Amino acid sequence: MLSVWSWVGIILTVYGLIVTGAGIYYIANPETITVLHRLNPSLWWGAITVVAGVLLLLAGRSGKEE
Amino acid sequence: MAAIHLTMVDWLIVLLYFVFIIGIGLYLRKFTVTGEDFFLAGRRSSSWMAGLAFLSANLGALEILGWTGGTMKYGMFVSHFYWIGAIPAMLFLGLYMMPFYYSSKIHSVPGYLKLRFDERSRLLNAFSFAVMTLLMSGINLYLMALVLRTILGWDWHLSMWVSALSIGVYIALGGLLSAIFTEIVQFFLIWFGLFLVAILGTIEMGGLGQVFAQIPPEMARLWATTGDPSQNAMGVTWLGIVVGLGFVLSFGYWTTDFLVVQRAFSSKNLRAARLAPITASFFKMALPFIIVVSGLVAWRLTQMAGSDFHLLPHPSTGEPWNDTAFPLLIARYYPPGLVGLGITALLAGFMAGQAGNISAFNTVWTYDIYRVIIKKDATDKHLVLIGRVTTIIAIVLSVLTAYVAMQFNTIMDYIQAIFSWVNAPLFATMLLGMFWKRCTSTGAFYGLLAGMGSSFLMFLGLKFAWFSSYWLTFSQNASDMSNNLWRAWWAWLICFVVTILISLVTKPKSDKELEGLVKGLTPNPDLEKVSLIKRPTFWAAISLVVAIALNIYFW
Repeated sequence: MLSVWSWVGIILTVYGLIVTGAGIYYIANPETITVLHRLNPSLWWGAITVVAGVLLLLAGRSGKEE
Repeated sequence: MAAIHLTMVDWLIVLLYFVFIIGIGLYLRKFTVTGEDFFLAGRRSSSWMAGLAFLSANLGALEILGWTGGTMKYGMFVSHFYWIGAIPAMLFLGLYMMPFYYSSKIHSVPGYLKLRFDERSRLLNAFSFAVMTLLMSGINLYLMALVLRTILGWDWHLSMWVSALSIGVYIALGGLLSAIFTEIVQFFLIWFGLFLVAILGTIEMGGLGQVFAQIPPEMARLWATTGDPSQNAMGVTWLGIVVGLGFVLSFGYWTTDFLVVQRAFSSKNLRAARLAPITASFFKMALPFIIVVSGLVAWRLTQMAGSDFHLLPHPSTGEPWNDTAFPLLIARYYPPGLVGLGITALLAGFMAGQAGNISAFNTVWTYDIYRVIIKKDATDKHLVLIGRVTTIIAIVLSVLTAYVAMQFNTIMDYIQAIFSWVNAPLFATMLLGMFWKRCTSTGAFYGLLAGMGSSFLMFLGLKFAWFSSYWLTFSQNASDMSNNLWRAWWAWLICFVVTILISLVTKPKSDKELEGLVKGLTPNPDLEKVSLIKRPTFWAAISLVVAIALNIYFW
């Protein structure tokens, strides 16, 4: 059975990539100006989410936890 | 007008979530064959899996929105619901109660009552739990639709039916395993989707120190103002917090509510089951860093001239609605993409909470009501079928309850009060049942009945002013919250005393009948030879020390 960590890893990786991609797009095309937009939260938070997703995918592959 | 507008990328994230959870249900369908698979997730969860699911079953989006709004009213006092109102009870469950629950190989909490006492207590608890769970499920659904309509402008009917049917499909396919998988997904989505709100809010305020420096002292402290109830917004003394919340309500919920305890039952062995609530306690302790910090930031923003932060009006009263604070912070800080992630995290929170209600309901209905009253000779295969059918029926009943709540708003006061009718007295019954072998079946049944009945009467008495709340709370300015805390204490005490008195004059079960169910007649799990780092007592001690340190730091 595909472990739950793999499932979580998949969705976090996909979401992290989308958020990062949106962050890059909106730097080039700033349509919505939010408070603290200068910090580009989508970029770094998206990247953190991708890293977490990949780590969980690796944890799921090791199969130690089901 | 809606506070948040979703862009295409946000919609993509929301839609992917629905595809994903239905995919989980379809995938897990082939692993869900026997009753143990469907109702107990095959008893193969690790302590991490069971622990995170244990936490997430309780952590709904309504809690996040409600307590963020609550923080704007009560300040740091909301942390009491986490640090004293959850941690001690979760540790007590893991260390002392789980051995009796898990070792008896029961499917449900009412199942323990049958083994320890008799069929009367089981049925009384099974029926009250089933009714409470269904009503709460409907109320949650209604509130979810209300919030989604207010902040996103979504249609009532569409958001209720789409989310309810999605839950119905994946629970009917994969049972408790589906619920646990989606609850763990929800756990991660909440941290990755919502924690950033608190981080960005803190950055805007100039750091956590500044957040606390800019709020009134009575909102910034946990215990310093509890000597006099008139000095804090909750109108409660330290005694009310410790006895009503820290002891009765908290222990009543965390140690006996099948919705959360069921997740620990799915563990692969006793040690994992004991570690489940202990693991969960660390993450429960961390939640105020999302919820309370966001609430304090929101409160400060409402006070700052030029912040352009305005709460939305409540749809019924027209007053500023504190529960909209969190979504408004999402709108303030999140650019497109992140908005989708934040809204998906809230949706996941709504749906996982619903799924928890439904999976707990179908187990209690199937094992403790259907198999006991309707079909005693049901086969395992038949019970799984009943579990699946019950899931769909429960979903439809939840939606109907939501429509009733929509028509009659005041009904919600009554339904939300049900929690303390059922859980607080049940904790007294469980405590005596597990730790006092002289406790008899007759004592437990009538004690439970007296506790539930008295709680209901006290609720009505306060509601219709039959007597002053001073006689329950010892305070002239008790809030509804204070009334609830004290009512739970009295209901617990009445159940406790009545159970003892009747037990002393009725015949107890023999020691042989109570083996594995009562302290003194059950092997001590702490004698298991494992390294220190694998011991539940070790992690519970660390959790307790951290909880005490947090209380002292924010005293």
